[in-house]
Amino acid sequence: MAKADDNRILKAFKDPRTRNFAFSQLVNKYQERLYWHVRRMVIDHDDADDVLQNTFIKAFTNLSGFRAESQLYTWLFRIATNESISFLRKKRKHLFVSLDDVSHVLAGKLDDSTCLSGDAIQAKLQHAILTLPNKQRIVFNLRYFEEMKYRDMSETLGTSVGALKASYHHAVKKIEAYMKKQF
Amino acid sequence: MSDPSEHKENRPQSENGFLDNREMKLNPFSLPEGYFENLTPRIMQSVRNSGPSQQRILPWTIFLRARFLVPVAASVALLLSIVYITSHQTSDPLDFSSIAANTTLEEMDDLVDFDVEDLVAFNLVDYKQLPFDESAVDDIDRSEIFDYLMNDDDLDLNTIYEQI
Repeated sequence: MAKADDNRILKAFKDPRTRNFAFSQLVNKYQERLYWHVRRMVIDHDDADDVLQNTFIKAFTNLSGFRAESQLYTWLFRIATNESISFLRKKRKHLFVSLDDVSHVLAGKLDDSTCLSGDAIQAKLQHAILTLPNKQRIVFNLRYFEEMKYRDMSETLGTSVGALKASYHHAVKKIEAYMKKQF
Repeated sequence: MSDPSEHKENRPQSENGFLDNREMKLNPFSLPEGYFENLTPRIMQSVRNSGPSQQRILPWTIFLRARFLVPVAASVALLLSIVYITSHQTSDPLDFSSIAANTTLEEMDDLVDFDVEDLVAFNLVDYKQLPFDESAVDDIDRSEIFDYLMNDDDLDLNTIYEQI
């Protein structure tokens, strides 16, 4: 399926006759990028699959109220980010553990042989990223892997560009320090 | 023509080049085979299923559902009665506030093995009255404060950035 233009998707979504078709085009266009964003946050594939489905259900429910002032993709990333954080909070409450312990649980999933297929160096990087607080992890992932511009990140996370730059800078320092210890 | 600074911004740089290695960006996560191929129809099915339920509730079924609540309501009423009766029979209730008012911090410390944080937590001591050691703050690295604030779910990045 060819990737559809956002404006055409939004226009078609407004018409009840083409609403479902338009939304399926939106899903097809963004599912992969959103999946990887969520997967880097929740680590486990099944959890990422659940969070992604919830993300699109929320998007479908609220798309009619979407304002063209922001970009569709930053709006979708915002929902996916919120759903991921909400999932991690629920997990923490469910397991009766602290944030640090959730990181250990996620790190344990990384060590699961079915989770990673890349080189050891990339696995180490994922472990390093898991040492960051959730807020910083989001900023690092969006900037480093998604290569999202600070302006778009600001729109996605509702955070000033200055705060994002400071957060990314701290994250890079911590990751570099972690990686140096490993080698 | 594109803005060169935008291109520069598009390539996140680290300070000593470790993260600049493109190999680090390769995706290490494994994925079930063909996952993305049938993801769109699966998500569309979830979206359809998530719509409002069309099931109609008949008026007489409400009574059938509510009858299960009768024993629960009776148990709650009984429990509330027991609490009310026992609370009125106690002649000398334990009043932590009056104990705290008549006890000095040193005496409290001798009696029980509480530290200051416990006393503040139980509202036995007003934290504003405690001596504040400013030199302790000077010893804390700004990045440590940053990390501490980053772990607080209730603080957003803007607030943390303004504080640091």
